[in-house]
Amino acid sequence: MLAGLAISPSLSRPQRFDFRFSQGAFRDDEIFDSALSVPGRFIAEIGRRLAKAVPRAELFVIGNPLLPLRAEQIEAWLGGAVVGPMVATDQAGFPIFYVLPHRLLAELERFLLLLSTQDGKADARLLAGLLGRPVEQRVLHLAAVGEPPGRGPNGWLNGDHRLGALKLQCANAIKIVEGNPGWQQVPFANYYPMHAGDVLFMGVASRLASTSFFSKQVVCSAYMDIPTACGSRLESMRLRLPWIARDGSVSELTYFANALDKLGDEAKAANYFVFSRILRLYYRTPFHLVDHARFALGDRIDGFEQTVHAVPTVAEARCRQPLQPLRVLFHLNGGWGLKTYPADNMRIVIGALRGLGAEVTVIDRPDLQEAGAQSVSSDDSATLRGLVERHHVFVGVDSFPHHFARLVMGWPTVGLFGNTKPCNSDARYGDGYRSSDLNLSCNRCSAYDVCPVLRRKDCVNYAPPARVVTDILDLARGVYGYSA
Amino acid sequence: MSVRVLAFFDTRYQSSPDIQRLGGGTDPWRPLLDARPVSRQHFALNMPSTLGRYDLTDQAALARVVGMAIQAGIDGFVVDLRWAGDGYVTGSQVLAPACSDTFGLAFRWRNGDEPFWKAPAAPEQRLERARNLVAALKVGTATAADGRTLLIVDSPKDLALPADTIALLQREARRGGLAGLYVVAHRAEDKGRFLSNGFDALIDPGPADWHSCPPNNRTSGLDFLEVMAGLKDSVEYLDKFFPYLLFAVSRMINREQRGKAFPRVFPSFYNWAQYPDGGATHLVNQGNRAIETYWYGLFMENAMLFAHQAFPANERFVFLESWNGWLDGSQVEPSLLDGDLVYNATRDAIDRGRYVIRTREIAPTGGLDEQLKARIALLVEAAQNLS
Repeated sequence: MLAGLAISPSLSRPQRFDFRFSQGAFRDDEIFDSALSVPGRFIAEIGRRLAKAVPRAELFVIGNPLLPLRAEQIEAWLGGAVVGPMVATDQAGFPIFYVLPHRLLAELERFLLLLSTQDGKADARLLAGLLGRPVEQRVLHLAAVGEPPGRGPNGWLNGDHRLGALKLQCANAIKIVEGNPGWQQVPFANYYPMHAGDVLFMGVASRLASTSFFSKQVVCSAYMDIPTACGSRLESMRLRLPWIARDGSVSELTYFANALDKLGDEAKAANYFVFSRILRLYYRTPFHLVDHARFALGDRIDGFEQTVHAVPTVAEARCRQPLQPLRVLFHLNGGWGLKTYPADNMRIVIGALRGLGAEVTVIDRPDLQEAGAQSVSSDDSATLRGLVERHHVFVGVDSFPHHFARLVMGWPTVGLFGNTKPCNSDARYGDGYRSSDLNLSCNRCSAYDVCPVLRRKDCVNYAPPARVVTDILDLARGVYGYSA
Repeated sequence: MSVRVLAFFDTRYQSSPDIQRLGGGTDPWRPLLDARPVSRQHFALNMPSTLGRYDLTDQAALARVVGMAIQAGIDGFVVDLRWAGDGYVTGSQVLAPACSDTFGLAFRWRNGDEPFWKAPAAPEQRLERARNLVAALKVGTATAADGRTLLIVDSPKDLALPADTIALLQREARRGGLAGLYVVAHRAEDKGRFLSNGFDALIDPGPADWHSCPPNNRTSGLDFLEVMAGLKDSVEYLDKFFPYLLFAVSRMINREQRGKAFPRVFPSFYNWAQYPDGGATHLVNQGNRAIETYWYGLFMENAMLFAHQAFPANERFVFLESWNGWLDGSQVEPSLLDGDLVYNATRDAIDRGRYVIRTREIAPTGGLDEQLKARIALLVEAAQNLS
């Protein structure tokens, strides 16, 4: 639930607007649900909607996206006349809604991304700095809402206190705005430093975005080759830290704080950092992670035709090797156990493909050599590109090589999906791309190592060998005219 | 064409004398109001909230009901067709004004309650009964499946002469001005028999009729003794409790091997009100909850994707149990206990399903020829044997 009001001298009372997070229908009252966007991005989006609906409005009242708010409730709190910018808080200072002048949305929209949305005092100070005038803080008759829960009613994640990162970015922004007369020219840096696939998605998003608040992206050293390899328009800022462990042993908040320290005071003074790690459960939406990233960058997505499922990310590319034998390159290892294609099934796929005269190469799977595949290594995107170019078809699980082959290279690709949701990270379907899975009703389960339904260590949603072989040959037939 | 979602709809919530011939009484909501759980393990039955305890003969109430269903992305209702002694009754006349090209009706023939079709009968009697049945289908706008009126046969095993009966109904439908019938057998596990008898497709049975996984409560002799000694709640022995997630996933595994079977999706299910002496089916989520909208949403969404992938364009259906099945807890309508939680989960899941289907609407490439598919199957089998 997202809400806002437009206040205009020509209206006898504020005009109310209620929105919901879209699940794919893109109705007029729906806003794209981006897991990589800070709450401030939704404030900006609501502002855009209100300004479009009431162009002459002077003030916009926008509810805190962290909270389940209705416009009717906000209007009741608003009471009588409102004359200027304001941050209304609960009794403990947690922001409930913001009153923002038209000018802020029109000229300084990107700075809304820096709001903490949890500290009314800090947000009022930031807004005052931006507007060059005092900002009223009003305390509502509302008991403290407390720290946002692990999964809030509006879908925000805070199990590891990651929303605390927004307070850090706000504090850094206040220092710049108050201390640097040229604060309006300071660049915005997107903090999305890992993992490989995520860095790729952000890079592709930057290429596709028609508008962006950002000119930089913070990237872990290990992934520094990726933005260039995928044609990112964001300048990479090297973060000399190993990527965060997936086991939750280090929280996102701690890692972000360490990252800011590591980047150093000079970088902090010269950049507005915006936390873009996952703040909502992206797999509860049908949207592609590239689109989640595009929205976070500032792009507008309010129709299917604007999504990467409708727009090609890159031109189609083809293998120049002779068509016989058909060469197929596999990447089968996901970032966790259930994301890895079952080895027994893979041996069958290799056997069947070889029986059909194809040559099979696998990335980093020496255990599959005895089944008849050649195992090769790939440590960087340049090596991967070379490998892909020597094969007619790439087949991969939901991991970086798959996304690189298709979204960056435009290579004929078959995606294998098990316990992750294909629509979040597949590609535009067509002659050169398809995905294989069984559409089981447990997808996506969000488990890592053990199936929560059947207690197995592999995922039964993966397509069986016959289907994988059929898909590969059908793709090769459609793209190259291949006949086994 | 995208996948169509059809919801089972109980038309008995109306005051027309016609529907009351089926035994609904003067107040159709009375059974819901009177139902009382007899065990602490029985989830409480819910009550309508937003739409209230409507009377479908009230056009304004009907418009609200159908309007909400359309808003949720539901493409039509499946209404029951019952023999009432002197003719067939569907109660769907009241729905006719709300039908349109985008919201239609399908029918579920409750033939199991009708002894006539269970035994051979004189041809002229069968003909008359068939004509009567077809006449009852000519109400409102039919949901077209492959251009024909969709009819689910609820108890195909109870048809004494299934192939003859289906052929007779088809003839009479065409003679009666319909484009024909798209006949669906309710029993997904009996694909061979029914499909060869002239049925066009199958539909998964309801949760009470198809226990797709073992129950949580596999009872022993000791349980029986404890119950008899008054030490244990008897429903633990008499009723069956299934984990919702495993139940739903089991239904979706190996679907392609079950033939042309439409998925049936349900948010929750507990039919103790219909089994006062025990024998009810309960679906239970972790934490002993009746509904978990996340898993329900995935069930719906993935069923839609399966239907899109598995069936021809104008025969893609998912059946939702149910719009207003208040007596078995499967209702989607907003309720007092859950508010619009289930309703919103339904809308969201259908939205997601339709979005993903749009992403996969690519022009078919023609596919591999059957000879190559057979060769792949042989090679896979050989590789399986080797490994």
